[in-house]
Amino acid sequence: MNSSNSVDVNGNAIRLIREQKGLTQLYLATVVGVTTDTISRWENRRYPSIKLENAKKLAEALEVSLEELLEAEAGAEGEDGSVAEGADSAAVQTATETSAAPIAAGRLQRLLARRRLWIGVGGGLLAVVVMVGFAVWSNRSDIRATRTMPTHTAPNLPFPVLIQTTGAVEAHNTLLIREELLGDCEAVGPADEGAAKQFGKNPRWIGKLSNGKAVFLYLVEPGKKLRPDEEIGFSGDVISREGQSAGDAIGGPTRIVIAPYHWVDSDKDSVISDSEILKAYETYSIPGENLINFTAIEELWLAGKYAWNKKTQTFVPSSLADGKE
Amino acid sequence: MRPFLVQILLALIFGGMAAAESGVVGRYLAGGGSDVQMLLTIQKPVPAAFIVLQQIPPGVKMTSASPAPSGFVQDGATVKWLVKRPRPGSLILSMQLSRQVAEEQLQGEISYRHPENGSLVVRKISY
Repeated sequence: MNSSNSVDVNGNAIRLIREQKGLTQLYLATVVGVTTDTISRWENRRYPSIKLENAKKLAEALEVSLEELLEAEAGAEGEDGSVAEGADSAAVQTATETSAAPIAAGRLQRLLARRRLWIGVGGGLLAVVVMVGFAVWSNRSDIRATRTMPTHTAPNLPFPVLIQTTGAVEAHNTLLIREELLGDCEAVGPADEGAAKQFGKNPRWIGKLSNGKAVFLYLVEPGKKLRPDEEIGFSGDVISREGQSAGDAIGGPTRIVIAPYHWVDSDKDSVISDSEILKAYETYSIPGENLINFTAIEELWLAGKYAWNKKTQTFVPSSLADGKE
Repeated sequence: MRPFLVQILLALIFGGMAAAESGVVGRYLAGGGSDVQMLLTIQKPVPAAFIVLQQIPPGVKMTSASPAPSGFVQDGATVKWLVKRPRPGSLILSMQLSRQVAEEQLQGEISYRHPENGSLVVRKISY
């Protein structure tokens, strides 16, 4: 709608209704009080803007409600005709033509104003979307935590579990690693004031990333009642942001199987090879930490071969008969 | 010049030559004889541990070694050193044999896990 006393009507609708009712342009022109040229112009333009008074007369002449003649598409631009219609003489029509330039300028201004409005609204929405996106992005969790542990261990043999955390979290952000063990076992952490920290089934670690990395090592002592082929399960997450209720899940293996082989002996051939002991050192030894009894592992490695003693539930070194590793 | 000064000098010279290689590399300092010395050069990234295996020629026995080896395999035919938590720099392993051996009879290797990708690295000790 262009102004309070004019409306945008649907030119196509006028023509369609008129033809459906078998009315002529002359009839409409006579009833409304305009020329046939004016009626023709209204019909030939998609959304002519006409005086409200004439629109009502037009609706009466077509025997429809005014709403049925109004523009059907929101935001559609009105067509010229607001001055030409309403005149009942050729003189007025001539005047319309002579005043076309200022009318066009007015419409252009209205058009630009509408466009500015839409651009403003669109720009505002875009800015909101960008700000929300940035807020989400800046608050996202870059933390990645991975669990590393052996595939198997013996019934009575403690084994290490390493949680390696990497991320771009600022140094002041504190991390909370929460692990949960399922099965007959107990977790033990690094010594705290001389005594090893007893975690039970819920190892916890609070710390910060250093150069984008953090490592949490703990030992799990399988229960003595566990038998070969039974399992210990793991699940855990990392909390890295204030107010974070659900943590980021820790990736990596989630179970370990009980077997009569040392956890270092990854291929279960009863021999701890050079490659296997080096892997154990490289993966689980942390400077300053003495959680793992590497001395016992070295004894089995040097012996060449080992055997599982069911009675004592321990490994016994046994030299290879052929001297091979 | 005292023997240990010579060792240090040689360690500095050959250590510098090996500096271009990363990880752990080894080289025999003495070209045969009954006193065998191996210069190990350790570069960053440093592995958590490495193993040195030295073959002893048939009919020869090792009478002493410094540092003491971690163990022996095959009835003393192979000597093993497990070096834990090494620091970047140079390390000399020396051993005295029961008789002189030719340089080409010395065979040894160093193995370790690469600290960054965990792959097993095995390197021959060069002459």
